[in-house]
Amino acid sequence: MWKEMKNIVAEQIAHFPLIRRLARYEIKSTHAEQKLGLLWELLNPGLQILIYWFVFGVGLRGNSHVDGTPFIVWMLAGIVVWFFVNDALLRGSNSINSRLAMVTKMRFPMSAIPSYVILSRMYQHLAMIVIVLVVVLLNGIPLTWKLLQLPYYLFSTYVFVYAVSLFFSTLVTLVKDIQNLLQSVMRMLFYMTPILWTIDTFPDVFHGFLRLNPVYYLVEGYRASLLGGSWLWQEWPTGLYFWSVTLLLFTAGTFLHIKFRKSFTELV
Amino acid sequence: MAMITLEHVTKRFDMVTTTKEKFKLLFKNQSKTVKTFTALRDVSLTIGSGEVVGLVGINGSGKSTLSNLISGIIYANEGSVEINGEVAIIAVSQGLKNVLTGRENIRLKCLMLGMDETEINRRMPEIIDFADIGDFIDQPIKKYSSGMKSRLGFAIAVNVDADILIVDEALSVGDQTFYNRCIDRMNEFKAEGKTILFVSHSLGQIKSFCDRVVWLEYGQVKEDGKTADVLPDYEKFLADYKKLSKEEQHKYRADRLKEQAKNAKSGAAPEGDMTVKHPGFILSALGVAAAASGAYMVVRETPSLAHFGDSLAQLFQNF
Repeated sequence: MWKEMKNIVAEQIAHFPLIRRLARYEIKSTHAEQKLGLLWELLNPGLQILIYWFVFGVGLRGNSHVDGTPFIVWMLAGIVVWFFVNDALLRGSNSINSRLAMVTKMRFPMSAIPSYVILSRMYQHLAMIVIVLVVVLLNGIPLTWKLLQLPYYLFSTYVFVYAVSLFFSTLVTLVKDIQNLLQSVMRMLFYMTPILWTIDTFPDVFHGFLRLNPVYYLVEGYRASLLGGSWLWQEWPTGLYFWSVTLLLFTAGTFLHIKFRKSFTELV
Repeated sequence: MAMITLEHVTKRFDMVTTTKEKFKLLFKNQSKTVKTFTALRDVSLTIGSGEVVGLVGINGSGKSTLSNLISGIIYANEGSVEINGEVAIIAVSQGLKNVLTGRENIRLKCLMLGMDETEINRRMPEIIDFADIGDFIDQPIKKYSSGMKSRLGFAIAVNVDADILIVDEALSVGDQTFYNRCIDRMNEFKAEGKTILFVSHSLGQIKSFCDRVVWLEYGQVKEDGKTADVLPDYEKFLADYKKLSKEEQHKYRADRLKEQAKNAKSGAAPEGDMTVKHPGFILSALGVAAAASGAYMVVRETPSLAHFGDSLAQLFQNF
């Protein structure tokens, strides 16, 4: 099994140029027929953020600050990772299923399909991180050394999304309903993650249990990096849990992928 | 040099119909749980460099399965398939994306074949020229006729550097001029010493183009040899077969399959590389790690047990 997992990682590295080119093509072709083109990549999340800020920040919180940080900035630092996780994970999970017809008449490295779909979302994510940094600076929040943790959390996010996508991309190919289920679960997870609400609005009994959601670790990690919070080793139990879950998904995903990838094309 | 070597290749397809059966597949190995269809049974074949081989046989004899196996699109359950070189397959349905234009499809297909921008830009005019579909190249594929689609697919496939070319009944859709252009192109391939596998129902095409013919019958090689030797036998078989009534045809098929089963080696060979060992140990180790760290994390973040009770009581009071 270690050999198979090493294979999957080796395939990612060997096919990286291919993955990058296809990721770029993916973005270009999605926006090819739109007047505003690539701008939609930022306009879409931007409009959503505006609504969330209005309803949750202004409406429910009366625009009060969170630990001395304006709500909009606090929310942005967390929601930026959610947009990526949600989008990349749902597209990644459907990636092999929706492209089967394309790859049935050619030899193509199957494990590269989720990765290029995920990578195509990464460009938007990086652009949004830059925007959030600008907003942070404009609000007079000083950048701290904790910003150095951001690459780590970015990497963790990517691995997590890939692991989940690898796992579900096989399942969705076998049973299409799983994609619908996943959509519902992700919508629930969004409200179970402290993105629009602060954790202290909950009775402290639930604080530990809310951390069982792996995205919690990523959202709080991004916040700590961008706004200056705790160091990542201070969060080691949550980190350990996050990586156990991620590796569990990656192992199970690799197993399913290797077991079925040779018969994907027969499932069309 | 042998370009294609097949040794005792058997290919079975799962006949899954229900979701329940698909779920079964997740946990168990193929062929034990679901009904399977044996498309190829114990096929051995060697094709050398520069050979032009025609593949004939009636419907359901396994021609497409064999060509898909050689192109690496599907995999054998038993036996080994060894290919030396790049394979390009040309088939009627090319896996083009309906919403994209012809030009975008060329780009995507080339990208997926591993080319970079400069190479694609270099090949683009050649491909467009070969497909010869005029202004339609900038129209979405969904507006294409079936002939145009296959021409585009063919144009992409023949303009890719491949050592082995597989043509799977792709020439039946084009008109005479396109057909001639394809034959010209394939003759070029032949002259370059490339290996070609030609699947066709048109015996005329096979006769004029192939040096060697492999005749498949219900998943097995019935005859393999020079075109002049095999083709007349096949033609004679076809003539006889056509005369049979539907029942007699079915009976013929059943008899042949029974004979095959009798001759087959007893006891199915192991599934080879179609199976992976179940990662039970790693999964349970990681499961334990997740459970332990999760439990510790929850306990650490949750106030003391006494407080826990109080909080819960308070919570229920509020209801």
